[in-house]
Amino acid sequence: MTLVAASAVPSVKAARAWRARPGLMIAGALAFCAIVYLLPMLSLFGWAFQGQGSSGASLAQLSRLIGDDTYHYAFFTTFKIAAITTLICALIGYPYAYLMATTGPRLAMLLTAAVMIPFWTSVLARSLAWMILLGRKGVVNEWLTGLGLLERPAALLFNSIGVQIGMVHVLLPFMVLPIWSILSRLDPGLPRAARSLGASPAAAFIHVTLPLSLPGLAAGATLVFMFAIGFYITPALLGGPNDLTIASLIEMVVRDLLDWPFGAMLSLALLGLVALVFACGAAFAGAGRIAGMEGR
Amino acid sequence: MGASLQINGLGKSYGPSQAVASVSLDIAAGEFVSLLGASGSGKTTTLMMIAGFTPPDAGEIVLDGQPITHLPPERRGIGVVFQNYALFPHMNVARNVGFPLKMRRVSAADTARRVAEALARVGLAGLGERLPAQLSGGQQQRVALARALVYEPGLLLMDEPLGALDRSLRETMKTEIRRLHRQLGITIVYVTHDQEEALTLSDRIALMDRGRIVQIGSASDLYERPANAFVAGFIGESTMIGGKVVRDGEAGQALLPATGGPPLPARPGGLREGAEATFLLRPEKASLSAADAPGSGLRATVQDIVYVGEISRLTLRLDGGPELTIKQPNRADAYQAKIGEAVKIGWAPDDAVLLAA
Amino acid sequence: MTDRSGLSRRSILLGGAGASLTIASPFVHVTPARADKGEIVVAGWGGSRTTAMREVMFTPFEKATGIRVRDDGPPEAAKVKAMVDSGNVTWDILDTDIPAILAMVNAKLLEPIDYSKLDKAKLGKIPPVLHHPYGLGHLIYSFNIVYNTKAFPNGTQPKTWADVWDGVKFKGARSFPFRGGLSPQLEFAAIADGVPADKVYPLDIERAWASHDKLRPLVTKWYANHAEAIQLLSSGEIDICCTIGPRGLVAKKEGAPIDVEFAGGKLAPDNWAIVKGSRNAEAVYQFLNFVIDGKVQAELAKRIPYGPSSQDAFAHLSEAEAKELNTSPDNLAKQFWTDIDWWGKTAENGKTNNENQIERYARWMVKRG
Repeated sequence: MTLVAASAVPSVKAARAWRARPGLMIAGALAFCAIVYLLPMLSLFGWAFQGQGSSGASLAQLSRLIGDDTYHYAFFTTFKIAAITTLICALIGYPYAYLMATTGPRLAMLLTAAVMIPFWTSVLARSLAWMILLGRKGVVNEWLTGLGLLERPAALLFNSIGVQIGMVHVLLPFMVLPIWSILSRLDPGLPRAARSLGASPAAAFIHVTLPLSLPGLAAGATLVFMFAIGFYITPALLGGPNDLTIASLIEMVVRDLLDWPFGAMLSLALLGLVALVFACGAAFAGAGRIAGMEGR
Repeated sequence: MGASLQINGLGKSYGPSQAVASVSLDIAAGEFVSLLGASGSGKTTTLMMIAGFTPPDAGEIVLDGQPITHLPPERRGIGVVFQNYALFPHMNVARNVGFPLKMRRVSAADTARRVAEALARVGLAGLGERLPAQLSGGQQQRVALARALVYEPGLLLMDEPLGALDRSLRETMKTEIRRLHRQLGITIVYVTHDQEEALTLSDRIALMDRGRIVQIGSASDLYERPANAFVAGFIGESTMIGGKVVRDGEAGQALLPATGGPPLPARPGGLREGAEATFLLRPEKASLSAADAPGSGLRATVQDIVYVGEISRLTLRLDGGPELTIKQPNRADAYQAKIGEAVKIGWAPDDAVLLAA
Repeated sequence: MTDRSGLSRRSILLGGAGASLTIASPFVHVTPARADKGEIVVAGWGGSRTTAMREVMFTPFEKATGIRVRDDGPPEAAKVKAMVDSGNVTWDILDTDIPAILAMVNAKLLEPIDYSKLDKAKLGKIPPVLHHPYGLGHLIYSFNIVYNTKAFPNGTQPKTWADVWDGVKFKGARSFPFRGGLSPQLEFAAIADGVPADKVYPLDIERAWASHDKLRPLVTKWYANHAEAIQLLSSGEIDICCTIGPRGLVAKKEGAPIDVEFAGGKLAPDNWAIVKGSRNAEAVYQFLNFVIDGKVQAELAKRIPYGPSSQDAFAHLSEAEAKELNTSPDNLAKQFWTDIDWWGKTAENGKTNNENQIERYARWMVKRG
């Protein structure tokens, strides 16, 4: 969405012309969307279902996808990694967002900065930083062994632990921000009212704060899950052979095997699954909240 | 079933600013007491300390003989109605009202019965399935009341409960609150910045200013016998004139205005002759007559007349002295003056008050 | 089998529907203006490699002929496909490896090289194994045993692939390439299992895979690009690595605790290839004749430690310089050439061995996890 907005910023003079004819502006925006989003999607469909030779449609790629369980495993791995990441992000992100929303302004600023700053550095750089920190001779293991907590360095890298550390780090803001957004706007009088009515702090949280913040949690979980599914730099750098994601295989099929029809089919399958996740999340949290377009 | 409440020397500071400074109150069971004051006067902080949301720095709170100063809010058993009602938006009306019973592990059957009773009591029978967002402001207010009363607390705290309602609804709700108070015999501490609300609802009013109680007493105490110029100025309209206390007749006293003019007779207070004082006269206490009418009175000129329905508000200048505001009923048997007219003004000395400056 | 696949030059896909973006990006490729008659475009790998080429090849060639040389890249097959399919070809010459060439030949993206237009004498100095119909080998990379010298000081390093496969005698973390279009290192697997280096081809695929299975538990990291591999080696995360020897030498020169064991290495060429639809044939062959010269190649080898394909280059290099190059006569004798024909051969299913083994590699990795 931001892309459309940014690219559609016309000059002042042009803006006047646009304003005179709002229909033109809408048509322009639609055309832009059609070219940038719809055409590539259509070509994806074209490749995925093109028949052998010159004419006709074919389900060959689909049946290949259905028949080859390598890709099923990769889909499964991808969804498993994404689900675990989402769970960890929720377990860390919710208390974090809660603290952000309820603490004093100075600490809240600090917490916001702490979660946002890594957000602005490249995924590649962050993944490489984790490699330095988590390695066999990395800082973390040097400390743990230096303090005598471990005899031998722990395997924190090139396995699912490394993948999760890296992915949670990258994706945590997407969990924290929607939850924080809801919690910060939650009337502090509500948990207070619950307390006055006889609820312990825990009961007030369970019966009032938590249910009212569930849409934020659902929005965060949907975002994290969707992003996690498309991830591949982090699993590639920090993961082991068990962390091979579908995005990596799509890349291999498209770039190295030049098998675009099958790559298109894989992409469509992934896209369909992501859309399904989004639909589930939207049913629970509202599409606007997930897309970050909710009114304040 | 009302509970008594004692507050002794309650204090609360936020950094260098003192929100509440040594507030003491002794409220009898079943009494209706308003904390009246402008915003920042410490009334809400006092209420929040009673409710248990704000820990006091000093002092003690005793409910029905039990010290509750350090109890968490949920163990005080006090009902609270919040300014914006604080209804749980994800629960329907019945679940909102049933919430305190659920927290008290009341059985489902009992809960249903008591919720229905509570809703009937506030005139919302049959609306249990609605969500708060589907109710009008007045209905939400009633739900909040029902929820705060369903577990039969001995003390009900209300924080500006009518602030969000329009004028006519406010009147209805005032009647409703008085009725509930009478029926249930519950003790109510009511925070408001609206003097009319405080005057009409309360048994006693504690007027607060800068974290302290300036005066506590019945509505007529505060109106007729204000402890100082602040109280007099806060409650009702009044003319206040500074000057010196002088003798008036044998036992009476009057105030000689600093601006000059005739001495203004007033009820003798405890003030020495010659002391600096403020003369206070409520505008409805004075009567107006033609300049040549018989009887005593002070001569004055009408400066301005504002017609406001049942009365007109007149600004008068005493000959050689200060201005006074009076209210004159718009009745045929009351003297109707004109702007610029010379008139005579009089009042019973007992209706005017001398306050230490 | 390529030197330079890596995350760094992959299209970034971190957007919402990431996967669809990956596919879409090659087609929104923006094409620069078409080269005019006096210009050729060489698509290479950028970085120090292109800088060195500019210095010893492009600039001297421009001076000698007046034909401008522009560099662009990276020469990914997917980009070439997008160009050729859209009929808007802006590249003339590619600098790329055999697997990429085979994939592009399959997709009909390359012109065959007309060897009759090349200088017979210069060509004669380049081993015939490097005269591929669609690519002329000019710069030789090799997969070698690259190791951390702190883990294996004073010549204690594994010296054969059987050593690398032996986790008892040679303790330490291994790393092998995976992803990025790299074929599995089946030759090494076969050799480790006892197949003599000169009898590796035609590969006994099943025997090689069985041996490859034994490698799996020894490998700590299946790395995705060679820069990563070198980084892991120099930080000590990895002790033994199967990666590009010349890259190990670059790191060694920069002071990293890394050295290269040339014994058992597998040699493969980077090649000059001509894009289908290139309209500067004359200039292209002029360029090729210029850059296959032994002296030019020697100059390049002094700047980047990849082996020159022309044996004539060693006439222009000192003995010390030659020792560190994988194509010096001594080192050449210790290694074997990748059999391009075997990897390019079409199997029963219509795909090349290369394609089939890349796919099988992914399958092996995914399912055995």
